Amino acid sequence: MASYMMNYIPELILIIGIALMVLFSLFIDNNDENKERLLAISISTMAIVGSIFVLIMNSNKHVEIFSNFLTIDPLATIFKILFLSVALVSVWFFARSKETNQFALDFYVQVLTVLIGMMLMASANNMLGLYLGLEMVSIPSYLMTGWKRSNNGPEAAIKYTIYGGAASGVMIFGMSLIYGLVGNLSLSSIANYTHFNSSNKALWIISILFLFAGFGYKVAAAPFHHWSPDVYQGATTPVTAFFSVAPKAAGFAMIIRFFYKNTITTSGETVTHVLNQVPWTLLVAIIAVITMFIGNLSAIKQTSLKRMLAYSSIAHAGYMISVITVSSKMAITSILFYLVIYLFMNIGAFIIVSIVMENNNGSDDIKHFNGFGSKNALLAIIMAFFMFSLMGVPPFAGFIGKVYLFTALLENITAITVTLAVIAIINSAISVYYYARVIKAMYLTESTNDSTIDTTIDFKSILFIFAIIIFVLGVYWAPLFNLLNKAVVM
Amino acid sequence: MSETYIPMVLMIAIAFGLGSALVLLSVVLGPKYPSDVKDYPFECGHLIDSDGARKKHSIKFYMIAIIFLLFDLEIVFMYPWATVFREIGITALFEMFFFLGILVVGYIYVWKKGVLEWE
Amino acid sequence: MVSLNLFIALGIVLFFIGLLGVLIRRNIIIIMISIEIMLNAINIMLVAFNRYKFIENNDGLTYSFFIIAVAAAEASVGLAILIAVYRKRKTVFVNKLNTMSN
Repeated sequence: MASYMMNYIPELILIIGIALMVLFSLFIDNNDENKERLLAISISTMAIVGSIFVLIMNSNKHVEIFSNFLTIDPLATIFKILFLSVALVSVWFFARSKETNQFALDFYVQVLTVLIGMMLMASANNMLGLYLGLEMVSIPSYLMTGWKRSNNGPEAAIKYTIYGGAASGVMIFGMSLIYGLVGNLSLSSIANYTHFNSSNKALWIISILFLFAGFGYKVAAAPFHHWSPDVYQGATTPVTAFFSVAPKAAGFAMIIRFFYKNTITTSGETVTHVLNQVPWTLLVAIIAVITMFIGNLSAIKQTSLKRMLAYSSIAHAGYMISVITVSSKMAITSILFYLVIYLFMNIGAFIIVSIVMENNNGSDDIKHFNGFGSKNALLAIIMAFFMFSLMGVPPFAGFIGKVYLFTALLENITAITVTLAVIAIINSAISVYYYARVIKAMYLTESTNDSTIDTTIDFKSILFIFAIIIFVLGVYWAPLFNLLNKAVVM
Repeated sequence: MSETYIPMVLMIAIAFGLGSALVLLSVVLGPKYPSDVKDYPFECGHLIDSDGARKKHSIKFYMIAIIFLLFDLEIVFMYPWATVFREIGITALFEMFFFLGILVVGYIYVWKKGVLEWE
Repeated sequence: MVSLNLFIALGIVLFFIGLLGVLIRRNIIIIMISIEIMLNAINIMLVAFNRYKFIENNDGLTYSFFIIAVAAAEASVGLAILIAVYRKRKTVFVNKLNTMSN
């Protein structure tokens, strides 16, 4: 095998896993659901674990492969490990969820395909790679959304398809304009061009505006967020949990790739940004402000808990986008740190939502949380943990994550960063209202029905581990932060 | 500049010539036994009814169309590959085999799932 | 020879026709056709830029090849989902698909 293929082994493992799963599924007995289930879970778990293992073994590599099409660097590696970990939890969650009545092996093929796409997004060094990664994440996502053949599944999927197709089309329109200016698709050439050329500022701003249609669509940032509440509500809860973390993290990986890159210019200087003389910070700041307000203000009036968490995830994307405006290593580290914490608290919250839904005929209305505290004290206290962490209350990890975001934001004080920090703090205060509503329902409202809420031991143990992690990272976060800080090398 | 187009014009001429020659030959040499069924206007897949064009089609048409669209478009990658094949050499061959291998897996999947069966 | 500006103008006009179609049409099939128009407009621009300004590399051509392939994948997935939607709802109009918002 060619030597450059050696650096592509994590993805190759997943590709082989996909091919094996597809082929095996055809040659086993169609009616034997247990065998199929075992096969899907074991192959996808093995592929994901193998991929993580290879990534950890080669975590210090810093090479460019496929004629500079992909960068394999520690930043990409840490993002890939993040995606794979989310997928590992999700595979368990997909398999255990009772929302889909029929088991389908093809579903796990989609999950692995999304993973390859996200890994491509994290290490793309080229506008073509960014686009291909985005589409490779999007297209299987449409199918995963429509998997539940209820009324809402296909409807959400078709909305997602139309929105995704249009958004990525607008994004590549921006890319084609940039190509027309620079004459090359690689991000290093763009960095080189903008370093020496300060003309055509208006055209650059327009191009970045178009590009943000794609970026914003992927991280669910306003005004490109309209798909996310419907998709989050229409898809099954495990799929929603997966979408709320992994593709969002991939979107941030893509944004970071596009805006920051250490490049040696033709005159020998090192520049850190792809867009050097283009005034893009104000544009990103405006998007961040709109995103935070729309997310938080829309979340207040939701009664469907999945829809509420969808808007809350839009708001969290807003906090992270505001940090993109600061061009520093600290900014990237704090985004990564927040994403890791967000993984645990958000997936945890969705797991509990799915447990409550299972015990209430598949309805995710907030009224089913009434009296949760007396029905099942352990699950209720864990849910309260996740809600406090999402609010950003000490001593939970969400607080530390927000502290680091604000620290990064205020590292060099300008009018934009101060405004953003103030707005972010106001928004955190708004968000307390709707998270607290869940806690109020659990502990202060009497239940109207006498249904019980309980679950199996594996759900309980995973939730318990997540709660412990949220708590531990809230008081002893330094090792994780230092690890991530070391990884941010580009 | 214009000399480079000569082979292309030649190829178009041969294609047209061969195509029309074959059609003409079958008209001239072929046996003719007209019948009611043969004179019936031809439409792919079903008999023409008096219901008009608004009749519902079988879902199979869409399935086949979707599958055809996908496999047809993968050929797009083989043209640029063919133009640089000699420069890259044997590596290019293996890469294309890998690509086609993935496509074949997809094809076997489609086949086994019964999408290509009409009934 | 036709100038680059004409090609770019054609690309931009087609792109916005497609975008407008996505925004104002109600029929999902028409919306998908509009998305295809957008993507093909981008292809025209990429190929024209490549041919007129940057003939020394093939980046624009490569990009347009991938756009064609991705558009096909997206269209087939979209049509498959559309069939599922039609079986459930007996409609292909986006304004009829509004059961989730509150």
